[in-house]
Amino acid sequence: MKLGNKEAPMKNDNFLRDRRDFLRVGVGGAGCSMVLGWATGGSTTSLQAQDANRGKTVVGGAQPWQKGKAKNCILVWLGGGPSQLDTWDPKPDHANGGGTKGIDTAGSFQVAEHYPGVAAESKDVCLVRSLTSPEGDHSRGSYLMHTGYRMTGAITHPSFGALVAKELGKENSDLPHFVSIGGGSYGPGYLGVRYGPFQVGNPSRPVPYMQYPGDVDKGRFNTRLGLLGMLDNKYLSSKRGEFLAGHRTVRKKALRLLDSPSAKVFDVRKEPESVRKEFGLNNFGLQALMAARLVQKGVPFVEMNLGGWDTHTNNLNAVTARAAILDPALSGLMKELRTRGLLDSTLIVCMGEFGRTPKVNRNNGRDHFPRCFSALVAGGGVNGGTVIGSSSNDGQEVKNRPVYIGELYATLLSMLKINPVKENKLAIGRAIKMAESDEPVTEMFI
Amino acid sequence: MKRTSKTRFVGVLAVISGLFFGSASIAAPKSPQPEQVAAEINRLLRETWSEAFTNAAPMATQGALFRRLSIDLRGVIPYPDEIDQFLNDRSKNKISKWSNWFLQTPEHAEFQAETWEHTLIGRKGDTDGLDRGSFRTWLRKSFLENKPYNELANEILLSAGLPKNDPAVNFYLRYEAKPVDMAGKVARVFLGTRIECAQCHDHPYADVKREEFFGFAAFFARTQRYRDYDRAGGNSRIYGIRSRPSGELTMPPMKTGQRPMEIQPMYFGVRYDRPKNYSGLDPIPKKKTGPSKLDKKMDSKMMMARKGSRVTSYGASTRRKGLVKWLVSDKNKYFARSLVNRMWAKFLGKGFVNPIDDFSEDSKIILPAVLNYLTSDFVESGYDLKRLQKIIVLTKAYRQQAVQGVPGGIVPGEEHDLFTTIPIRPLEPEVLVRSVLRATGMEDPHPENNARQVKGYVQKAEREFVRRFGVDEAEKRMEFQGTVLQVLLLFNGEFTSSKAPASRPYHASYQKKYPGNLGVVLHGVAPARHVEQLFLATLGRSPSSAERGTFDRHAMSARDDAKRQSVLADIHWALLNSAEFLHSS
Repeated sequence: MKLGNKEAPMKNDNFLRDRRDFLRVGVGGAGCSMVLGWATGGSTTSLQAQDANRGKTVVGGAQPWQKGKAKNCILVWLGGGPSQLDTWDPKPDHANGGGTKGIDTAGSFQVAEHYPGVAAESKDVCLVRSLTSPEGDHSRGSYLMHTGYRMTGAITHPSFGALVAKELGKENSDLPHFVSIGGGSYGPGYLGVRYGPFQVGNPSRPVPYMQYPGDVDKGRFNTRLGLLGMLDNKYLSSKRGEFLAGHRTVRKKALRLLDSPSAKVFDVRKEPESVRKEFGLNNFGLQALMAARLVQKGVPFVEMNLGGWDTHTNNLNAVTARAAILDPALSGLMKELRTRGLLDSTLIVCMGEFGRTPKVNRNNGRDHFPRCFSALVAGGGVNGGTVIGSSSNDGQEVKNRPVYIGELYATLLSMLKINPVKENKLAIGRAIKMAESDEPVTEMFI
Repeated sequence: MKRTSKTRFVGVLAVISGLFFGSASIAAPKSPQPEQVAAEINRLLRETWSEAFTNAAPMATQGALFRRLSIDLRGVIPYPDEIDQFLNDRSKNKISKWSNWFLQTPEHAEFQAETWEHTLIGRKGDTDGLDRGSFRTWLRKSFLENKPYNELANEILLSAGLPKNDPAVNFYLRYEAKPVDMAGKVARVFLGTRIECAQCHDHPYADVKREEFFGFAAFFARTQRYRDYDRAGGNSRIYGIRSRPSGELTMPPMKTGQRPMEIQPMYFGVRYDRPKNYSGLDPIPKKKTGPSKLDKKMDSKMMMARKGSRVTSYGASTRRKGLVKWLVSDKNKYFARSLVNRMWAKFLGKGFVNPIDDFSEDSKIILPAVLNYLTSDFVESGYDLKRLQKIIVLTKAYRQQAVQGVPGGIVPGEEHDLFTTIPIRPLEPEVLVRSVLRATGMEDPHPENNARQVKGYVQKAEREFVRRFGVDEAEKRMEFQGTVLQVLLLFNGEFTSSKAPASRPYHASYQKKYPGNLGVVLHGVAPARHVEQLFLATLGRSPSSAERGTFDRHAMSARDDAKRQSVLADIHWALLNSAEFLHSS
């Protein structure tokens, strides 16, 4: 069983179980690709049903992923690599703490003093303090943390959002299945662009091309569609084939979105200030509000983006300023979802491409540090108020319960009730599992 | 390498022509014309098809074929007047004539440069020192002069120094001169094999072990990226590629407890130090682009700063030279074949081997006879890229009607339709931008007429379309790739609205009547032919009688000029949004 990291120790006590799992997966995997082969383009629900049956009939006991409770996911991406010591793993008593104090929370842990909002919400927060990754380069680290796989160049892996969009997206929804706000998310890779993100650049502006151009009103637009229909009917009927059927499907979706009252969900900039204030009156606050609204409308995956975490110089000032934006947005998001009764079914994941060096450098900054860093997971049935793993006193090493990125992905997917070992078939004939590891961190949600 | 041995070239041709054109032709053997090569390929195709009890789709109509030629050879749809000329051309060899013409246009070189830029360094992704501009310019120049493919590959693979001296180094700069990344890309582009997977585990299907992959990567172990300062350009940082005299690649262990292993170079299981594998070949001479005095001075400074590894050369390392000598030689059976396969797939939608960069000892080859024949012609012609493309467009496989689905059907046992169809393909994003701009009269902003506005508009179109339609080469699949965002851009974006700023000055009076790009497209066309002209400008064909009925009626419904404008804009919009416009068929 390969883990997200080469240095992963073999777990001998799990050997027998692994063997059994391997056999089961082998058989189930073949069944699954057969289904894929027969029903290309078939609905995902039938595949899910197959998988669910497989788990039950073949093994008997429920798999961890079948206990997942979340239906939606919001990824709060912190581009640049946030310092774990100034966010979720403060070390106020050590020189490496860098001047950041800790504060008590509603959970069993402390967070950095810059996060009073998150502290208050912590009964629904689980911190992972023992993430470990081999990638200390921005692009390679972002790739690994966005896809759960290391970059190899031979194939492009789908991002978290694309995997979820494929598994949880409902065909009859007016809205896209994967919305990325503020840019920065990764694409659908080998799954194909149909699972790619719907990009909403700046939440304080209207989404581009959602309005009819200039002097065209609904009536004239319909006239245009009539002309277009005539051209296309002739072409499509003479040329048959999936390519063009796909074209037609996507066009229908676009038209549905244009006409849909749900499309107003993107107009969060028009909401009253009293509402927007809860998330922070800035661009990222609007992102959070939009994410909440999208989840309310049933969009399964939303990615938000806050950059500026690459704090090589003047770390303390920079992380304090970032926190002033992140804290209200994150806690506002949790509060809003709880009020709407959606927090238990919405998984919130907050992370970046790696952590930062515990030792403060000569420029009062912190450099890239993938060996031991943290992520925040909230809602979505997480065991709130708990911490997974820990780092050493100086923050240089994982002290216990290392969590490899493949395992993190197996966990997050399981929490969304997605089978992490389900395989996706590639155009070149290979099949790749949703997550590289088949061992979710069960103590996080069971 | 304009073919080192002329005699061998002639000799082989004598054999070929003897075989194909009857033994009677003892007369001075001429190199076969592309038409003759295409005829032989057609014979091979017919033979295969009849053996498999299948047949090709009917020939494409003249208009459809012309649009396809323009898109595939030039990367943009044709102008209405070109279509007119082509349709009225009564000469027998007009496909040959017109493909010659397309092949010599600067647009062809630009299109090739664009395609190869994507293949070599990807559409996306920038690294320190990478200068896409100089790379593109160098590629364009190479394709303009129809540089032989082996020379082109040689120049890329042996590149060294700074991009301003040797723009080909951008290839290595894109991969930050990381041996593993360079090796993976080189194998994929120039050998048509995907060996990168063997980086983490033994190749699942092909017989490539991790050790062999790292052995291949070890050829690049002594190639490194260096940083310099541009003295002339405000001391900004610049990057180049150079060699160091020593240094080995180590293979990281798979498990804890194992030690990293030092790896010696090897060609897929064959140790590099066995000379017989690449002897007997003349190296391809390379123009010297040595370091300037300043470079040397800077280098000595950097040498002091750098502990351990002494830098001796701004050229390619001996090791890299050894690899390249073998790689671009005729002895390497993958080099020419993978290129022929890549080219064929570009025109026919699928290759002899699929995916096109998945050659291995036991990969399934469709119509191996055609692949081999084309490959040997390509090698004998001195790796002539234009000739190869011309041959391909002259084949029957290329000239058939495009249909998705199957006249011949998937042939059992082959899992392939043996090229009895040519697929309908969505236009590449860059081709689509150029075609939209051309069909809306927006290309070539004239300097005298709000050129700045038009230029800004063109740049925005490029950005928007490539952002929404562009996928990286690695992600490409043979299935529909459309998204809602793309449809919205075409539905509601300004690029299809006929409201764009006009691009040419010479119809000022006309512009009053038909402002924006509509005025440019309809310039000089009688109102009765407006609908026809819009069809030609977008789809490259006249409307069918049913279409003519509907669209003319719609155009006539306008009572005044203003109404007529908006009615014509509606027609234009519908044409630009049609599946037929967005695809090559």
